[in-house]
Order: sequence, then C-alpha cells, then structure tokens
Amino acid sequence: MKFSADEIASVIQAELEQFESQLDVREVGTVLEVGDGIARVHGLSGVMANEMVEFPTGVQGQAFNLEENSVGIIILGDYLQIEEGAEVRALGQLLSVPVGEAVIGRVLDPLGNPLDGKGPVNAKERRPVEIIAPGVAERQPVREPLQTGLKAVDAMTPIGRGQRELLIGDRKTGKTAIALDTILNQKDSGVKCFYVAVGQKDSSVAGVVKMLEDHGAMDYTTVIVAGASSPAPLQYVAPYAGTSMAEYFMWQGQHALIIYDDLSKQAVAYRQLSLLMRRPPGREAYPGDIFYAHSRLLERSVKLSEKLGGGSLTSLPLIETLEGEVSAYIPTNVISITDGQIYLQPDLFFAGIRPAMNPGISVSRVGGAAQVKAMRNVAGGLRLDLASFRELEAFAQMGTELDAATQSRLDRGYRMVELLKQPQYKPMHVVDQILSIYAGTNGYLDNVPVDQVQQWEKDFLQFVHTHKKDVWRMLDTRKNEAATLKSPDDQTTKAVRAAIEEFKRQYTRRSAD
Amino acid sequence: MTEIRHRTVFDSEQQRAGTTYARALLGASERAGVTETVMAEFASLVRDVLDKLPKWDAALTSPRIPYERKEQMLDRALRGKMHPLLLNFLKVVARRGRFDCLRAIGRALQDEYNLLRGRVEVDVCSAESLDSAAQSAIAERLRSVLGREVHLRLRVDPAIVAGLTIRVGDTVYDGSVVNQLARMREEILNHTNQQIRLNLDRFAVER
Repeated sequence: MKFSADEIASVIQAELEQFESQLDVREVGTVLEVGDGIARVHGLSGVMANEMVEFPTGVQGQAFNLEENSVGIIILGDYLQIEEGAEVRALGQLLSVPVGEAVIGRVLDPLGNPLDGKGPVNAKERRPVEIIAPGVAERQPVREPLQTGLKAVDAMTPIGRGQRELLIGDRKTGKTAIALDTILNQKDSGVKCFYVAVGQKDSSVAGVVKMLEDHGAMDYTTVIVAGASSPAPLQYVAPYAGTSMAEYFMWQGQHALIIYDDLSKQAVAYRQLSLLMRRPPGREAYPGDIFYAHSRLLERSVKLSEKLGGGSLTSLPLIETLEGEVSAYIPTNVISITDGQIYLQPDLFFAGIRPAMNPGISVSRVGGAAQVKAMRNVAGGLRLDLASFRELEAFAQMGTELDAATQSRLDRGYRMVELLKQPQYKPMHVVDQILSIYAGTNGYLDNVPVDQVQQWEKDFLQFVHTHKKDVWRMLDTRKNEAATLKSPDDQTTKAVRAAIEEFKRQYTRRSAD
Repeated sequence: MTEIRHRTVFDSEQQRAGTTYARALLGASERAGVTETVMAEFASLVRDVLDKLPKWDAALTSPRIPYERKEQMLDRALRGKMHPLLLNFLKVVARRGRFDCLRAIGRALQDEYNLLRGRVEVDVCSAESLDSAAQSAIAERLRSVLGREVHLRLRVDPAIVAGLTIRVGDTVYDGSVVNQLARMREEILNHTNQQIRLNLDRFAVER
C-alpha cells in the first residue's frame, strides 16, 4: 500500500487553519538532584499529590513527596537524560492508562505504551491509575465460580469471581504455572485476563507471551510488563495500571481476571522508592504504608452489585517466600488482605506432586459459596481428608503395624494424591474434574495400582467422551443443582455410577488380556 | 586546603536556613532604617569580595577554623568599611558556623525585601534585547495584571525565535514562537495519525 501525500497535506492544512495560538501558561520547578528513578525539584509550589509532571526530555513523573522546600518526583521512564537545573512542568493531571477493547491482546508497559511492535494502542478512553475501590453498597458477595481448570484448586480451594486468592510459595514451585493455567482455562468463559509481570526477567515474560500466543490465549489477554530492568517507579505503578485496565471491563458488566506476578517484587520496588525519598523505614526496611499499598490495590477486586451490572474482577496475587517463611512481613500482610491462599511447597513439587499445593494450609475463605454445586457434593471433605492423610502417612512411615481400616485410608489417600496431579497447560473442564474426583472419593480406584491411576483417569474420561456423552451432557446442564451427585438415589449419581462400572468392566478385561 | 570547585546550584536545606537569617537581618536593618544600605553592601560583599577571593571565602566557611579567628578576620578586613549592623550580622553567622549559607542568605534577602516592599521579580526572556519603551510597556502591563510593583530581570535568548516568555514565581507564561511551533507540530502529528487510523482508505493509493 502507498500513501497519498496530497491527502495528508490537506489534513495538515486543515489542522493549521484551526490552530489557535494561545498563551501557554505552566507551573514549573527546577531539578535539584536526580538519580535512581527519583528527582528532587525546587519550585512547583502549586503541585498536588500524585500530579503528573513532565521533564524537558518528555519523560513523565509523578509528585510523590510534597515537602516544605522541595517536591520528590518519581520518574516514570529514562532518568539518565535528566540534568540538574532542568525545568520541570506540572501537567495538572493524574496518571492514566488507555483502556478498552484496544488493549486486549497487547503487551504494554505500565503507562500503556506498546512493547509488542503491533503499532499504537487505539484506545478511545483512559482511566486514572489510582482509583479508590468501590464501597460496601456497590458490592455483592462472591457467588459465581472462576474455574482454574486445575482439579486440586477447583475441588479444594475454589475461587469465585471477585475473589482475591493468593498464590504463595518459594521460587520454582509452580506459582506462575497455576496462574497461567487459569488464564488458558478462560478461553470460552468470556473472562478477560490481565497478566502483570513485575520485576521479572524479560526472557521469562517473552516465554509467557509466546506460550499464551501458542495456546490462543492472547485473544482475550493483556500483558503488562515492568521487567527487572525497568526503573523502580514503573515496577511500583504496574499493578495499579493493570488493575485500571481490568476494571474497565468490570464496570462494563463483564468479568476480568488479573494476575500480579509478583507482589513481593513490587513491594521491593516501593521500598526502594520510599527509602530514596527518605521516608522512614519500618519492619524489614519497608515503609509504613506498604500494607496500604497492597490493600488498596487488592480492594479493587470486586464483585459489583446487580444494579451496577454485576461485573467482577478476580485477582491472583503471587508472593514469593524465602525458604517457606510465610511469617515474613510482606507474606503475612498479603495473606491477611486476601480471601485465602494456595500454598505451594517445594518438597511436594520435587516429589512429583504438581500442582504442589499443600491442602492443609491452603484455604479459600469465600470461594465455597461460588463452587459448582456438583463439585461441592463430590469434593466437600476432600481437603480435610487429604490433610489428615498427610499426617497418617508420616505416622505410617515409622514402620508401625497398621490395622486394615487405616491401611485402606492410606491407600485411598495415595490414589487421591495421584489423581489430583495434573500436567502444565492442560486445564480440565469442570465436568471432567467432577467425574474424576467422584471416581476417586467413592473408592472406584482402590483396586487400581497407584502408578496406573493417571492412565486410568485418562482412559476413563476418553471413554465418557466417546461412549457416554449423554451422561457428560446431563452433568454439564445439572452441575449447578444442589441435588446433583448428592444422594445415591439421584438420577445423576446413578448415571455416573453406571458409566464408571461399565468402564471398569472394560478396563479389567483389557488389563487381563 | 582544597578549594571548592563545584558549588551545588541550589541547596534547599541551606536556603531554609538562609531565609531565617535573612528575615533577622532585614528586621534589624528595617528598625535602624538602613535596609537599602545593608542590602547594597551585602550584595557587594558577595560579588566583589567573596567571589574574587575564594580562599578567604573558604577560610570563613571552614569548620576547622575557630569562630574567634573568623571574627578577627572579619574585624580586620571589614571594620569601618561597612555598616556595623552588617558586620555584627556576619560575626553572628560565623559564630553559628553558617557561613556556607551566605549566598542563600543573599538570595533570601532579596526575596524577603521584595515581599516587604510589595514588589515582585519577573524574569522576561526575549529573542532580541528590548528597548526601554518596550521594557516599560511590559512592566506597566505586568503591574496592572499582578497588582504589585514589578522588577524586571531581562534575558536574551535567540533560541525562542520571537515572542516573550515571562516567569513570575513558579508560573511561566510562554508566548514564544518556538513553543507555539512545538505545540503545532505535536497537534498536527496527533491529528494526522488519528485521521489515518480512522480512515485508512482515504490516504491509500492504488498501485
């Protein structure tokens, strides 16, 4: 394609004719010192808290500290070109980002500038980055499920739309994997996904984007990146910017999911800024308002009332612990803010139990109300059973003689653990999950060798999909009814049992051959 | 003794201390009715003595020299040559170890004096030097707008092409041609970009 120069010239001419020369009035200050992402500025006497300012290089900043003689500015961009004595102008605006359908499928920096080389973001609207969360009257309790596609999570710590569920664990325990599987599972659910990468290696983020593209997930996902090489102010702002983009869909009556990967690094960036700004350090040298920094962010995840459209924003913050230390400052803060946590343990991870979730200390405080009814009937006691199995297992390792009842509980436990394992990037439909877990908790796997459980599950689900599609469809339509799979006399229970028994007959015949 | 090679352009902590000292000096000289003399002598001291004799300045600033010695130095050099009020003030500054703030005091003195007399300093930047008629016209206009006595500080900068920029306090009124050109460029770029995005067909040419 070729551009017509005449047409462009006519647009420019029209613009020139309309150009009104007005006196440009601006409030200015002078840079006293600059470095490490912050600047101290003299002047700007009328600047307000969080107001945007602009440096001569075009880089923007935000008024962070208003002091008696100077203003502390956090610089949102390249600070190396700014010099002492440079003129800073106040813009009279708050920091805002582009929002709307135009950001979907894009990789953006925290200011909404594209990083994916796909051209400018054609957003019609902008939203301020810092917004006070909706109040009590504007909300309603969480009631719809957000399926992660992971058996262990959906069965034991169900997540509802509008919930904040923390993913916590040491490095390399699969926190990001759970979050990404959740994104992949939103493919046909209409949930818009936002992945905020803070302080991560750019290579990891590139890998994530590639994976999302390969699985077709970028059609409904936005990635906001403030990598490890970004200045601390951008890392600090990124989660708020991502939330603003996600909130747009919530206010449209839609559903959104946001993942903060991870908030420990954001806390570190905020600590760096605060210390450079000479705000007094508190515990672990974090500033006094680090709790507020996280609470005001996570409070913005909301299930809106029906009057406001009933949209929701679900968030999955990630926190990295050191050596399993959950009683450090930031982990305890975020645990207390969120509506539950999924705790991932390295020893489980290396034992091959993936997702490496510890059922004993993982909870979901509000998700139970949102869980699919059939799943609740099937997996109600699963979390406590598994937790007590872990204790029993430790006890059994001491070589004591076990009675038959205890041995059978142990056997059931081993099979359930095996059943809850799930490979990465393979989220499961909730009906498949229900069928698997029903088979496990009702003892149909007790005579299957432990190392064959996963194969059994795979074959069984394939059997249902090919020969028993009617049972699958019945479960799908009736999964939200309270009676489904509850009593043995229920129609659904009977159908599922018949299907499992038919499969077992085939299976034993085949393994006998 | 090493000389100070690079003085910080502006130190807000020094400026804060300087304002306090300047207010004190202004209060005392106002009571004695010698404000203008003291101000002129102060400016001359900084410009003609301290700037010309950096070693003497450094000695007075140095914390290694006891204040008695500094008072003797001041007495020997300046007694009889300046108003005793200013000399006493300098001794107080030396005794408090605040000689490093002297330039900040000078700046604050000017600001406080302007405040006291209801005057305002205005920076005017033009592309060419202004004749006295233009200067008085600008001053007159600013006086009527600001409602205060105006003291112009003129600066010539050919980079602004034409027009004027006027700075009062922290507010800049920018009527320079270079600024208008920059804004025009930005608006045209944005507008054209937007037009191309909205209506690509209009600009496309069949090949």
